[in-house]
Amino acid sequence: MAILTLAGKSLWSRRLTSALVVLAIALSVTLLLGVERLRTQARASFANTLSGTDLIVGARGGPINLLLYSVFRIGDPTNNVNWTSYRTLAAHPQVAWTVPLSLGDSHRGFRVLGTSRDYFQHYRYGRNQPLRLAEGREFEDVFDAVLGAEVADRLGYRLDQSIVIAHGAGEVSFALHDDKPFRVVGVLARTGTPVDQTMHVSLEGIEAIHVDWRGGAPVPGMRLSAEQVRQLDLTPKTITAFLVGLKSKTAIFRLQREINEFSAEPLLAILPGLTLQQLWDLMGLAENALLVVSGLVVLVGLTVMLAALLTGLNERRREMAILRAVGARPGQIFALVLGESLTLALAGAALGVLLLQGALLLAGPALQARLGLAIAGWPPSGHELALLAGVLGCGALAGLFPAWRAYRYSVADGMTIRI
Amino acid sequence: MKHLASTRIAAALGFALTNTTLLAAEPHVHGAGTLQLVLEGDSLNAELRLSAMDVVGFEHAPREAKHKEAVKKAVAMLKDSRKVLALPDAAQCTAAPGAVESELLEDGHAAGYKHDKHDKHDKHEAGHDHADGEAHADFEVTYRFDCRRPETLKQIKTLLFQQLPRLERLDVEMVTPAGQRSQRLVPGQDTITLP
Repeated sequence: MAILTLAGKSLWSRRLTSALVVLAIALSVTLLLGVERLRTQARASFANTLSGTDLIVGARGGPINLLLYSVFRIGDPTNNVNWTSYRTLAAHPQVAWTVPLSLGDSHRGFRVLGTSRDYFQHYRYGRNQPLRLAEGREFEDVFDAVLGAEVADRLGYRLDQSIVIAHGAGEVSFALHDDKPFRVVGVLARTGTPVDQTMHVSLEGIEAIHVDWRGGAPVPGMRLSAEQVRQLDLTPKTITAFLVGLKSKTAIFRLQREINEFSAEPLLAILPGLTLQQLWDLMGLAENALLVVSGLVVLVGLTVMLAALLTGLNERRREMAILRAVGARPGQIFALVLGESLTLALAGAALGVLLLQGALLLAGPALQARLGLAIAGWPPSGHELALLAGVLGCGALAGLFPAWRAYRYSVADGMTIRI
Repeated sequence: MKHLASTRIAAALGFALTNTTLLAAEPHVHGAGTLQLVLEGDSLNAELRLSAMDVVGFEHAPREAKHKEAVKKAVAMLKDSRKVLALPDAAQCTAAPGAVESELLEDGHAAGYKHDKHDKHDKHEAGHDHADGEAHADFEVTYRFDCRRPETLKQIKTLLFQQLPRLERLDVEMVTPAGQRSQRLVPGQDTITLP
């Protein structure tokens, strides 16, 4: 006990160096835990985006690609699904419900999703949570739009506002559907998923703004007014993908096979949970690389501590010699130096955890808003505690070397010094 | 004639595409099997697909007595779900005998095979006709377990690697009320963890 007090006091007498060492360790620990937290929470956040959907069906292509564009609004579809194929499969006896998804247009950088009202009823996120309207109602008219929470927040839109959709998915677009504005009729409650960054309109709405377009541009001399368009048959010819819920999950693999062998058109059905797992398997390599790099940074932090302790020993030859002279055994000198390094590592780890909490508290809302990533800071996971224990273990290991030197040279060194 | 050839090519192309993108029914790979599990309510349904090569060591129609014997033994083994999957006792499951399907069975698709050369030809034709795109012989087994305490089904051990030494891996896809998960089993790591 006396040794520990002594170690603490000794560190305090060199507080500037000690503080810097603690800071170096703390920053490295923050990085290590931050990477770990981001990794696990990003996974959880992705996994939370869609639940309750058994299959996603789109044009044949890569399964991960289909998952990314249909659910996470990342990337673009390879092809569309014919409306007739969709209706055929939606009427399959095993299918309980379907939600059509039509992507391709945007509004000031936010994706516009054409869908049916089944979307509000059947789309689930997190632990089977349904979508909730914060204000207003679901779309009814062809030109009604329901906004995700983030779209409404960031663009400052209110109910009854009139908005113009741009053709294509770019942030800046010169091809505007400005002759047929939409009206905001509802805003969804925040979900922490890409739904927040989406503007929802009916499939008929998507069809309506494209009836007088051909090949990505308005047909000259054929501009139909919103009122004229309303009179047309607005059944879409294609959709991008659709979500499927089954009556009984027992049929899931059989239906998947059936859809994959659909004769009218090459389609791909995926199980979203399985495909997400494939994605993580792909990402695993990059994640591990990040983790290794942050682990190396911790080693750098501990090396800084080692350097500081060794330099300190040089300056403390007299101190050690005096301790020996007043009766300290070599073992106690050893314990003193080891205790110092442990204290430094412990303080560094603790400060690192605090720094991470602070950083998450500050950056959390921004992450949630920009990336739809909800990152909780507390409590640390078992894996994180293991990482912390590893840091402390390495700290103790690093302390062994200066402790051994002090043990070995304390007497001879201190007595023969010339000042 | 020309028309016929082009449709064949188209069919072959379509066939190839199907196989590359099919996830559930992976193309016929020797050494690799798939197992699809669905847990709903009290019942656990399992569908196992193995190449005949991994099960009996050949993929032609059994003509010699020893081949017929091998197929018979394999079918008996696969039918007995306890030799394939070991469910935890706590779940109190009862199993119906597995339903085995294979081209190698006498009443199966392979009944008409006669000569090796013809065999190949026939099989290729069959590959196009078959919805599953099989150009080889497979074993497909479906099991159904009814469990009194399905909530205790957390881990299932598969005994296939002990039974079939040629099997190198088993890709398991599971759907339970808790979600969807996949897992790759290899000899030594033969326990399925359900989500």
